[in-house]
Amino acid sequence: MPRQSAIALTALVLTGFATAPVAEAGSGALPISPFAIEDSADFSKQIERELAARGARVALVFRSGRYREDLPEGVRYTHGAFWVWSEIELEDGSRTHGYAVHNLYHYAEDTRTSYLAQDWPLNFTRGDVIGEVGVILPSPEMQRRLWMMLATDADDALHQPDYSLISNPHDARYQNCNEYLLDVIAAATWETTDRDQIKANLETWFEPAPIRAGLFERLFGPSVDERIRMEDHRDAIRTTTFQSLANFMTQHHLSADTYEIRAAFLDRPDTPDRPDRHSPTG
Amino acid sequence: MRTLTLLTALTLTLTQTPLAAADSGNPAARASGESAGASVEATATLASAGITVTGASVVAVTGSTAGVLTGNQELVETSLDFAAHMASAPFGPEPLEVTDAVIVADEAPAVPYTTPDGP
Repeated sequence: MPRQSAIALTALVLTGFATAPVAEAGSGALPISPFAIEDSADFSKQIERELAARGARVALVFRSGRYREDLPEGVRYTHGAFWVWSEIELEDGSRTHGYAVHNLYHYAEDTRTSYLAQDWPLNFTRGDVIGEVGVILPSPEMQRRLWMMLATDADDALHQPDYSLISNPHDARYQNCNEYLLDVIAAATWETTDRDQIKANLETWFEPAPIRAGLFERLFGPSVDERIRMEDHRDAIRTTTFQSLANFMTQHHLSADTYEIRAAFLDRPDTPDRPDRHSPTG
Repeated sequence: MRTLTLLTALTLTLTQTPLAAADSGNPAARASGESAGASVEATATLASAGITVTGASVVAVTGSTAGVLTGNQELVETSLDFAAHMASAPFGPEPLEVTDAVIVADEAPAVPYTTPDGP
């Protein structure tokens, strides 16, 4: 094969994989859930009811936009957000209660920059491809502090817009959705929004999850996915996960419970074991 | 050719290596016209399945903890009012109410699509 063709093919492979429509909550143009929207809606309401039954005014909820076998060992979810029990005004002007979801998202085009956004449970479950979510229920006192922060946008002070998929929670340079949750939890714990102080405290008290990656992945990871940034890692790649956050909150008595919720629709006889990952949505 | 095969194999290996640990992409983030259409379609689909669908917004809370953090006296006072309100809230295991309606963002995405420096 001529050299030019070889390079072109290689570039195509790299580009193709960098933008391949695999199931992930990335910069895709459409919601990624392989489930029918009615099922996603049912699941979102199931989560809301289960949280409400436990009196959860604030909970940390995690979903996976990737199939489990596509995730690193020990990682079960790819996106986490605060679910906040809120007073909401419906289109007809009436008021009721439900959960609002507070997220850190990266932009669709500029994937190295993030923003904070509030949306709804259905938005959350439309990014889920496995029909299961992880939940960390903070202690009542932590819920009170978190609710105050989120209801008043005090968490804005903790947002670092420079985004990395595998941001190091001990380093202030980058932040991802899970690290945002951690920083807000830390701010509520130590009652400060000074991010440098928070990082110093987390260095002492928070144990991030190690992500196994070889030399090749370290060298070429950023070429395949620009959201992967390595500058904030030294020897090992370590980041914030559902499990590391749960461990931290349990160890320091900041949580009341940690558990998972499986979508009820998965137990219907007509639900396939695993939906086609490329099936159209909605 | 051998180099190409090696590169391709390595690329395949890399792309299947699960480095992605936290993925903060917004699945609903897309061009506003497209998303408004998708929102309408989602609403219609859910409604036809007998699911109550509605648009909604969170009722803003008055006061700001920013006052406590910044030392601004006016903000401190409203913050204290708010704090007093929050202090009386029963944070505990008592069950809470949630609406049966599924809330669909009427202007999805309720987030900027373009980059801050974009058009």
